[in-house]
Amino acid sequence: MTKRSQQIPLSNQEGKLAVIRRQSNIRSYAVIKGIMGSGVIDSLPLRVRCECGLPICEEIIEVNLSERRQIRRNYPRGFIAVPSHVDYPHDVTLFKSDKLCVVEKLQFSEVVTDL
Amino acid sequence: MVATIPITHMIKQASTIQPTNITALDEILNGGIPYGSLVLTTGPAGGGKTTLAQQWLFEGARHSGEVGLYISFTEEIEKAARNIEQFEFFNKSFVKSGRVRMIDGRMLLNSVPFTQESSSELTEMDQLLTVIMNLVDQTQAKRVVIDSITALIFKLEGVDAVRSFIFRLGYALSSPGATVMLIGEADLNTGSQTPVEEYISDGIIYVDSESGRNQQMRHLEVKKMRGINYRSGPAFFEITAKGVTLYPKIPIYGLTAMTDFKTRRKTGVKKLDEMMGGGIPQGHILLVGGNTGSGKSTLGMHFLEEGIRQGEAGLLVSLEESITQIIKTAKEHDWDFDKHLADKTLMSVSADFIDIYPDKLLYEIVHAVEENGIKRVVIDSISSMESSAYARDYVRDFLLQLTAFFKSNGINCLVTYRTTEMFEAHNKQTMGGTMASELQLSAIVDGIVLMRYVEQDQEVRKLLSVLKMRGSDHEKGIYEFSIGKAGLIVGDQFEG
Repeated sequence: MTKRSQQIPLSNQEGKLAVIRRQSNIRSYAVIKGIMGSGVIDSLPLRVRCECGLPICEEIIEVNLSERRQIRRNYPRGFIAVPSHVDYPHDVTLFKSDKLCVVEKLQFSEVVTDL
Repeated sequence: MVATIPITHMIKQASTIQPTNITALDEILNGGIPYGSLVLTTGPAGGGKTTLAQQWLFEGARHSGEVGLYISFTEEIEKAARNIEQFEFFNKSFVKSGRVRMIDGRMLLNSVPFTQESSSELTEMDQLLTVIMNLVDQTQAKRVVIDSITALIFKLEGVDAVRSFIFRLGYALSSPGATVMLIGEADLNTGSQTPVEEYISDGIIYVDSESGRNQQMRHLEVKKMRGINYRSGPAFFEITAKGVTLYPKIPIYGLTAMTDFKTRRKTGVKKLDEMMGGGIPQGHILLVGGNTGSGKSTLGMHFLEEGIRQGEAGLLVSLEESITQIIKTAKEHDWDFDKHLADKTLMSVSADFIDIYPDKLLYEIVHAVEENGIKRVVIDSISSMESSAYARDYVRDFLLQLTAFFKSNGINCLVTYRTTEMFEAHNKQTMGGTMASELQLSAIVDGIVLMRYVEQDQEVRKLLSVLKMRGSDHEKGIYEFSIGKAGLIVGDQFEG
């Protein structure tokens, strides 16, 4: 598992990548919804790619659609990342569980919501 | 409630086997494919890769209730759907209900890049991967076909990009337990377009075809399948209205011959049985060689009729004459083959006389024998295979497998072979000199009976002799015989 060094702050490139990953996750859901129509099921997984912004990150976070919707609704500025990829102190943790964190990246405060 | 999946810690869970539900393919794969495998189905264009993959999806939906996902990057999905409607495995209701989803991959590709900004770290393929992963999540697909990976690889730059994409694709889809079949394009000589997919895949199924005389000769070979002990070597297959039908070879290693010299099966020709020491030892293969019209087929019919009389079901493998013709001939001897066929004491297998495919024939014989408890088989004649089959090696392989199977099951088989020498006894040529030698049949079979003509006193007479009876003594004399209403009657010893 990749681990962010606490000494290296979020670069512009990483921030940009975090935004792109988040947009990609959001757009992905739109495509799925377009294909499945009303057939999307809340209890089924709809995994997300980690939105930390690390160029080498390939983590996939397993959430179901309902959980994902809740996160996007409650934290519209949030980025979903695995806990070890949180960039302290540049990321502000909004929510934390064993397996994921929702963080706000102060430099990239665009509000997003996909659900 | 939430879990991360570290891609760098990829240790797949102990997999269980997922049947392909394509009967003979499961035989080859020893049950199926391990769940979550990434299987590359590759071969030249027109080999049957797409049909095989689509059949795998529909059979999975039909037999296992598994959701299938077909993503086409090569043709319009409507066209792909139209193409499979001709097959019996296609089920429209599966498509309507979403049990098999057919998705236009080019539409997915058009959806990416999702963002206005491009990024070298997040390629179109990354985003496509996310969509496919989510599609599998939401459809709960257990079988996914990407047709073709070659079309996607063209979009990737460099071996590393291909390796990375396939690696992550396999992981992202295997995690929820989906087995992925990637369709690739390659030919036997050059290998895949990019060999990377072969290294990364858990399994490789290679399909190809070549022209026969009357139809295409198709072969499927499992070249790699991690986690299972599959059967190696190519298997012949056909694509018909049923889809892909495979005819795998019989594994002959480890089979034990059940030869029993004490138990003998009579041919129904009393004198011949005496010449052979009381009949054909159980499990022996008897070759009956002779000129055209000498009575080989009649002897075969005798053998089957005698078996039926004794309560043993028989199988007639007819490679020269139609079954209708054989029934008529049998009637001339008061043998009611029509009735035997109706009451299933006699089974028949026949083949396309122009292209006889040994593997297909072998498969049909074995299944007919197993399903009907058959103890007597007549193959009339093996010479037809020699002249019809695509390659002579196939015929020899066919005989080796078949004899091994028969011997291991205590079955007796009478094989007829048409020799070309005429009047050879008259010319004092070596008996059976070239007979069956080209196929090296004499080494494969246990016994040889030779039926010949001889010209004497201005007339043609028929002679019969036993040339070989492995492990058992036999009469060495040459006898005259005739064929009449009662069948074949062996007369006095020939004194020419």
